[in-house]
Amino acid sequence: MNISQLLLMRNELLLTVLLLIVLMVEIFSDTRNSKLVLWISMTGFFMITLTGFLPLKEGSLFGGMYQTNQTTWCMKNILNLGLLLVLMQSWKWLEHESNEGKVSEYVMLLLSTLMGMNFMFSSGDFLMMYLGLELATIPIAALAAFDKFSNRSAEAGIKLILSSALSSGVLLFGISILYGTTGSIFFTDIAGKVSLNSLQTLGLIFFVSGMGFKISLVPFHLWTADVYEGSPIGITSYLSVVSKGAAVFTLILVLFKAFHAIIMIWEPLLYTLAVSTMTIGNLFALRQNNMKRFLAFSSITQAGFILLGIMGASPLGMATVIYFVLIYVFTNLAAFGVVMAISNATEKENIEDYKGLYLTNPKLSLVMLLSMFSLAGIPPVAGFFGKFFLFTAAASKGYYMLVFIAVINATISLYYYLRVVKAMFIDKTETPIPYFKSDFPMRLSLIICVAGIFLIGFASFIYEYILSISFGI
Amino acid sequence: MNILTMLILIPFVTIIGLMFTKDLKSARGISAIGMGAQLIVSVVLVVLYIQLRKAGVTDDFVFQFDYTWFPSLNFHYFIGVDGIAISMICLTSVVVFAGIFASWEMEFLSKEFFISLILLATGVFGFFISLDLFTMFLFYELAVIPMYLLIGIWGSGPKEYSAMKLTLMLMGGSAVLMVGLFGLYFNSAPDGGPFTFNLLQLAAIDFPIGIQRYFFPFIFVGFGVLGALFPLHTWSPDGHSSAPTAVSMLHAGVLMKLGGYGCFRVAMFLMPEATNEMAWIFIILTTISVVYGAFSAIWQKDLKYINAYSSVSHCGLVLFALLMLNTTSMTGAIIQMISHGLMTALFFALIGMIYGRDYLK
Amino acid sequence: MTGIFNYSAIILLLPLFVFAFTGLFGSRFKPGFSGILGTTGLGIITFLSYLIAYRYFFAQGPVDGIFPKLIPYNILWLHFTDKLSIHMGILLDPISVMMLVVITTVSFMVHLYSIGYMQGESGYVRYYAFLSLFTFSMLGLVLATNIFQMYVFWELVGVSSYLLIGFYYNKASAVAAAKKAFIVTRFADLGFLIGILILSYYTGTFDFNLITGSDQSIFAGGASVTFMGISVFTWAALLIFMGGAGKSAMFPLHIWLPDAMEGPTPVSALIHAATMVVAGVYLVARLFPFYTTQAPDVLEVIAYVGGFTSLFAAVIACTQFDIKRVLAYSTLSQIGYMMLALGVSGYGHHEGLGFMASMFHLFNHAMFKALLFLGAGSIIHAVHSNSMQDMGGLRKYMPITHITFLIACLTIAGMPFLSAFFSKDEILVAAYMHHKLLFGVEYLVAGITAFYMFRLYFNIFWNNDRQYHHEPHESPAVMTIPLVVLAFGSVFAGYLPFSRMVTSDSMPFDTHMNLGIAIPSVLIGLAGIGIAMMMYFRKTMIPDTLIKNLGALYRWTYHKFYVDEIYLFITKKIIFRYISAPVAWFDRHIVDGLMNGIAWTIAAVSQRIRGLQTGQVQEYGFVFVVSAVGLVLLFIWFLV
Repeated sequence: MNISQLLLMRNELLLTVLLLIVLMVEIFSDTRNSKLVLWISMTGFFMITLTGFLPLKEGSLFGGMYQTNQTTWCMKNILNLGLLLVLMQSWKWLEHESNEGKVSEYVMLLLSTLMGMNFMFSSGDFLMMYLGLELATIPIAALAAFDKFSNRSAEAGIKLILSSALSSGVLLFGISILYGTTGSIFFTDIAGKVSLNSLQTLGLIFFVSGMGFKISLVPFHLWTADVYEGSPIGITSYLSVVSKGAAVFTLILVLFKAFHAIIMIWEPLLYTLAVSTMTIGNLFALRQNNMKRFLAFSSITQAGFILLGIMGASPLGMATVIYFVLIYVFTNLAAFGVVMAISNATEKENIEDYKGLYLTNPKLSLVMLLSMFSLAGIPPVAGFFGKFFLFTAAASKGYYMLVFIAVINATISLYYYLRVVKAMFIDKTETPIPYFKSDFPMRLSLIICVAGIFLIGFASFIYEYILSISFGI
Repeated sequence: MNILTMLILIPFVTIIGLMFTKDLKSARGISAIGMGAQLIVSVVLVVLYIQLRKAGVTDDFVFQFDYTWFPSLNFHYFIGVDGIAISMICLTSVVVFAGIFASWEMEFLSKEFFISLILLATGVFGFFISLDLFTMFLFYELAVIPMYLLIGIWGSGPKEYSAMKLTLMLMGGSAVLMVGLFGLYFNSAPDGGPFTFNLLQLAAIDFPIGIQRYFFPFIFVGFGVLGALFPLHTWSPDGHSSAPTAVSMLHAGVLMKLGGYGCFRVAMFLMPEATNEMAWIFIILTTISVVYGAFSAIWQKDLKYINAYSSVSHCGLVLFALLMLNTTSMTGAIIQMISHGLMTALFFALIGMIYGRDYLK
Repeated sequence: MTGIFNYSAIILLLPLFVFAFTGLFGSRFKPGFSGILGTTGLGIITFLSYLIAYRYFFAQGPVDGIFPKLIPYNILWLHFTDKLSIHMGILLDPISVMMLVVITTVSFMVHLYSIGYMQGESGYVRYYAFLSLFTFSMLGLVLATNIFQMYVFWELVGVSSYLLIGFYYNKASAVAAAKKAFIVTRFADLGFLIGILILSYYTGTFDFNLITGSDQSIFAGGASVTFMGISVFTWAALLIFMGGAGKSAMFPLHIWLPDAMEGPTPVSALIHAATMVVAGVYLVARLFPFYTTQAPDVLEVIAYVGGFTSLFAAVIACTQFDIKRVLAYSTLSQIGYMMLALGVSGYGHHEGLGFMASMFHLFNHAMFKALLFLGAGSIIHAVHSNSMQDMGGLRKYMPITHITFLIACLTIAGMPFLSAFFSKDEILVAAYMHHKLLFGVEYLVAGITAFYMFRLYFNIFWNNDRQYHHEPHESPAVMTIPLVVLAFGSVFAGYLPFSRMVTSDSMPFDTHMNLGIAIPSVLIGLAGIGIAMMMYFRKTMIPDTLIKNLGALYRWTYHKFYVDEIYLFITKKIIFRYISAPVAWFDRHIVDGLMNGIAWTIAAVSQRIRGLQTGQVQEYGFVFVVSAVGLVLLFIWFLV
């Protein structure tokens, strides 16, 4: 092993470097200058994101514990983009005086979670995966409790850490049983040794439930709403997009790599989870009034749809999942961006508060409209393509009934997405949110999101590229 | 450039133009010019079509253009028209053009109104020219969704309720339809090779009767919702009565025809055996539609409700005629679609005029 | 030699053009312009029709003893399948040429008359546009080469009739009448349409030439097919007659005609007396060979329906006070005559006497009934009332109207040497040869007719010499000239050698006056006139006493035997209340309720399960572990 091989983990290394730089600045700049830290971390991360697009060799490190290939390269880029957008959207909130001196903490924690996620789906064995998972989870709990003057934020933090500790425990139990029955923690070894037996079934299901916790699949989702609602919006959006995406990537990679021999177990398992997730997520989302809570449940439903793609169990399936996550990054971050902009300006977070928004803030409303349509899967925006392809993947396996349930759920979900549209465009109120101008990074991030929402669907080469790097069972 | 693509591009350019307008006058001016151009293109299309046929071209679909959109999935932007599609396109251009003028005094958020209206029209045009089921489905949904805003924002009466109901029911229909489309897609390559949504290739395949039995109801009902098939027609009265004039015109005049056209072009065209076998079920349903819509209309007091129920009845008649499965009845169904499209649009326009003057309906 | 026939297209197209031009641009000009334009156009086509009629009947004459069927135009209009296509064309044969003359003459007179009658009305231009539309449709109807074309124009006359009845659209009763006329005739046309479909399905053609031709092989396909024990062709014939009965206002579909009098009076003269209402008669006449060969039973039905209607309407006419309604019932009664004549007729030569008589009577009736209506219009124009109770002694003020009206009354009463005398006589002869009962009924009706017409006449022009607020005066020349022209027609039309022109098989034959029937009929007529004179010549107490003594009978008759009420009961009470209302309710509450119910259920479930999200983190953990374990057990149970 030589140094050049280490470059395979370019992204993780760069993240570490940036993390250290931010730490140094924090330590050595005496003025507790938020602006400086912000600029440095933003520029740095922007560079990292750009570097991410440079081509990368495939290979493995540490005896196969760490693996990198085109697929993970693409996944990392997607998540980088996600975090970049989150950082841009958090800009103004971080400048706020209540966050005086805490900017570097925020950035460092985020960067470390991202690093954890990168390790999580670059792993070649369960140990690396588990390490990544913990690195990705624990800082988020701190982030959730970031707003130290808010009870809800503290509650979110403690709920997240408790729940995730439990889920990690279950996950570890599953992993250890797998280790015990196969004698290895490497995915490639396990793949050859798993078969249809009770213990390994138990191991698999515990593993899936651990991941299901991160993806917030029903019935492992209960923490989601409270945490999403209590956390600062930037963290909520990060949780619902980047963290969820990483967990989805991990789930699909591990299922494809390690468990393809017992697909007859995990396909019905995912079937069950998909149905319950879509349905319950929908039922909860129907009646939410808080935008963050509402988006939390809507993201649960979306996670249910993603499972359909995983069930495709083919290059097509993986491609649709990655593609959907990519679209979902832009779509959901557009929605969160608007929520955040409004929250920054007025501290209002309820759907009722959005009444008449179009007349005062037409551009924001349009962004929200597009993102809602994209979430609902309405053409011509990207969400339509994403969802259509996910369903294609499921249908390719003959799961017509599941597709039927999914499309019916998609229709129900349309109801609550339209509720937001209705509030903004149709409802009238005496006291609408007055016109305000959001900060530049926010606007830029929303522009990027909208561009993404429009282009990713129509530009078929993106999908074709993703398909070319995907693999099946 | 392919003349059919123009039918998509012109509304698109019009929408772009509309985005830069500031007031009602320029908005309606641009819309009228755009849709006028669209009308001219449609007429030119008819002339070209007749010339082609006179010249002895016997292809089923002419002006074909094929661009592979998603190569791996074999989704195409594949367009082409035959006489039926052309007549539907003409109908649409006429109704949309008239609709622009019916909303000449749309003061409130005029720009947005015209954008939504033309977006809806784009969907309809795209639907009629598509020969690939993926594009067809895309345009189908595109045509449905602006409806929500059009009714919700510019409607009257219980507009939120009506708009929501209409959108959900129609999207529910398209959800059902989607399953059917997947069924066709994944059975489109019995001898191996890539799956396809290409209508012409699908037509060449003899789907096993089991598959047809399974998926025919999905597709027929999916389109049938838009064609106001009993008992899935209830969006129609509320939606029509709440919608602003131009939207009612477009919806009853054109959009409901998408249902009939889809049933004809996709469900019945691709799965003839299942059609033959299951026709009786749908004949019963459409018969109910026809009679029931008419009787309901008698009792209504609101002119828009009357017309909406009569549309239910007429669209039922269209489906009914299609299900009779002979050339004469098919021809009749197509003619009925066109004639009903024009007259119901006219009727809604007149109701709109009455309402505009007296606030009575 | 067919040169002139090629101009027949102009007859159709000119009114259409006038309609389009007047309708679109009429309001740009002075109001008078449209009247003059319409009248001139009509003048031209009237002239053309006369030329054609002259050429057809006299200059060219029968070929090989038969009047030929000429088809100058027949354009393929709709091509459905090779077997089924619809043509639009022009068919000239004796009855259509005769109808050409009738329609153009009356229409021309009405156009001319309306220049005066409608002067100053606000809808003047609209009126003339619709009048042209009607003329166009009516001509298209009679010239149709196939039954489908006829149906198209049949509906068009329905539309124009609707538009013209509802001309005074801000008058509620006119709107209701228009609606009623349209709905009742449309209902009847439903039968017509089904009849057409059955007929064309089994014969494979719409073409009159084939359906009424001598080649019977086209009927072979359906000859053995029966429905409810009756052959399909009988059904077709019956249903087609239903359409005819609707347009011609035969009992029980007659209810719209009296109400249709809400339209302007010249319109009543044109549409509801002379032309459109006889379309049913024309229809049966057009398909007469088909009826005689394939459905003789239906002819029997037609005869009895006609006979009953003529009696029924005549009785009602005796009790009405609105002069236009009296005329309307008299129209019903006369059309009943025509139907009866068709019904009792056989096919070919002397057998076809009834057919010939029917057409003859149609022709005469058009003249004198148009005259009566136009006269009534002239009177209404002067008195501004429709009720004969507001009239009396008008002979002094309106001499020309008086004389022409008297001529028309004498004609309709069947007085010798006037036109209707001849045609009525032949109808009676035909009825006598067929069935004595029908014959007796017609004798009776002849007497009643004479009675109510002279009741009308005396009430208007004699009776009490009342004082008027505004002194009534004679109408302007533009209105009286048509009266005089039509009066000439009424007197002299009877001298046309009709049996040498219009016969069931297009072969001329000769008729003779049957004095044994004619003389009693004249005497009956005279008796009717006498009774009327006794009661109404001067103001007497006889009518009132009679009314008192007749009691219920009078009341029933006065209320038109409550037929309208029965219809109202069926439509309003049964269809509206017990079918439509429940259907509408069902739709709103059950079907729609089902849809809303789904939404409601989802919402309710959503509300209910909110409680599951307690916010207690220990419960979250519990659920997590229980679910994970539960899933494990489930999958091990089922799969391993």
